[in-house]
Amino acid sequence: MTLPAGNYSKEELSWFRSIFDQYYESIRSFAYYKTGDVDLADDIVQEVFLKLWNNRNDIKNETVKSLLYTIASNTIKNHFKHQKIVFNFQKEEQSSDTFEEADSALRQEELNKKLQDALAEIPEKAREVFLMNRIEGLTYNDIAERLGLSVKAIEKRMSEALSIIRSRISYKI
Amino acid sequence: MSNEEKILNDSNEKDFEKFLEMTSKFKVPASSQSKEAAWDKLVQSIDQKEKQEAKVVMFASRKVWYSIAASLVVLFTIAALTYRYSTVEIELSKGEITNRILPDGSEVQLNADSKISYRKFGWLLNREIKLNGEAFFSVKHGNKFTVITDYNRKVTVTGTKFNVFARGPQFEVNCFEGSVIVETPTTKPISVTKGTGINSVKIEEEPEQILLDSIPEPTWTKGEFYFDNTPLNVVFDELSRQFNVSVDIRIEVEKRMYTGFFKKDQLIKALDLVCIPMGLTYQISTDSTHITIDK
Repeated sequence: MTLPAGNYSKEELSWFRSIFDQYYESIRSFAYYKTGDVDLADDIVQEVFLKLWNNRNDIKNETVKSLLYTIASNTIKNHFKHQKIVFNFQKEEQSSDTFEEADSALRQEELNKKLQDALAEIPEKAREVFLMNRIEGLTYNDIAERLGLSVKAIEKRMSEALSIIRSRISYKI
Repeated sequence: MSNEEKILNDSNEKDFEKFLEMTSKFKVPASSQSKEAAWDKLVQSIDQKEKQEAKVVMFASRKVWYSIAASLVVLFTIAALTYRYSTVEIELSKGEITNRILPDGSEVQLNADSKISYRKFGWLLNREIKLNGEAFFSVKHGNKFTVITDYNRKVTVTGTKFNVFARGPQFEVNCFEGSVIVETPTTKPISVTKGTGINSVKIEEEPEQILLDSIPEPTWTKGEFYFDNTPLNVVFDELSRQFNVSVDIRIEVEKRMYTGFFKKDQLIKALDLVCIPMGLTYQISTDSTHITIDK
């Protein structure tokens, strides 16, 4: 851990590090859900945490979580032009064994591509909620807290995401 | 629902469930940098920013200090100039008499070979008049100030008319209206009331109380000089001042006292009035600037 030499206390920095440890992955993922761009997500994470640092004197610990997501949303909205999203989610290693033996590797690949495209087509707000739930396994409550929304809103967005995925696969694969 | 449709639906449902299962196994692609590298980069940016801010702050504070220093210099200069140029000095040479109005509206009449100074600016804070020589003050009712003479002898007044004579060790205060308080470093404050005065010839000497004739103001303001048992040298000094002449006295006169008067109209008349009663002779130089006194 690099120790900075600026004009701030050790306590401030260790507090900041704990926030970073806790939310680095989530914010990076969140940025990826929104942009579908790994490098951009990395840049956004840097910017989000820098902004958090700059506002460290006004931040309450209870609100830091949702604040991070708000900063991330605004950063993406303000700084990065909306581009067509192409996801490239990685599959966990063990998955290949458990998949249906009948499916050829080719079909697997096809399915994967179809799914990634379907995800990209979900509107951003529903998509991020859906992916936070599916990939990070966050509960509706947790997501609602992070995004500063009601659980009802999360449920609505989830069902929106699900219905889009469903409609995509109703066409013959 | 037809069988075929059901199969298709089932297959869709199967696909959907598979989809969902697949999504839960998805991972966000790894970053090209490790988390630790991301932290280091973040700290680096923070340090850079803090340094810039520190520089800006230092620059700003320096600027502020410079401004404060500059302002102080300007203020100090103005104050010094005001102080310097607000000090009013009136100095008369021999043979001159003048009337002046003080900042509070009081009137001062200055005798020949006398000097007063006071501050025009800050008069309210420092109501002091320095006097060297003789002056008659007519103070406006209710106003207050202090006249300071050599040897730190002070005359404090409120709305009166009084005359101060302060030449070297000789010191005389005469009060024509109201009262004044006289303080010297060696005596307690003395109250001098209307129609009286105090007089001291030497510094250490306890001032002597004197009674004045009932006159509204000192006679010198009208060009008349009265002497009552006054050392002759004092009389000749006054004569020298009023006629702007130098007087050379070739005899011992300090112990000889004169009672009488002269007027500031003709030098010869005045000399006669002083010299004849005292049994002295005088000579006037051709340009009327020099007088020699002898037996």
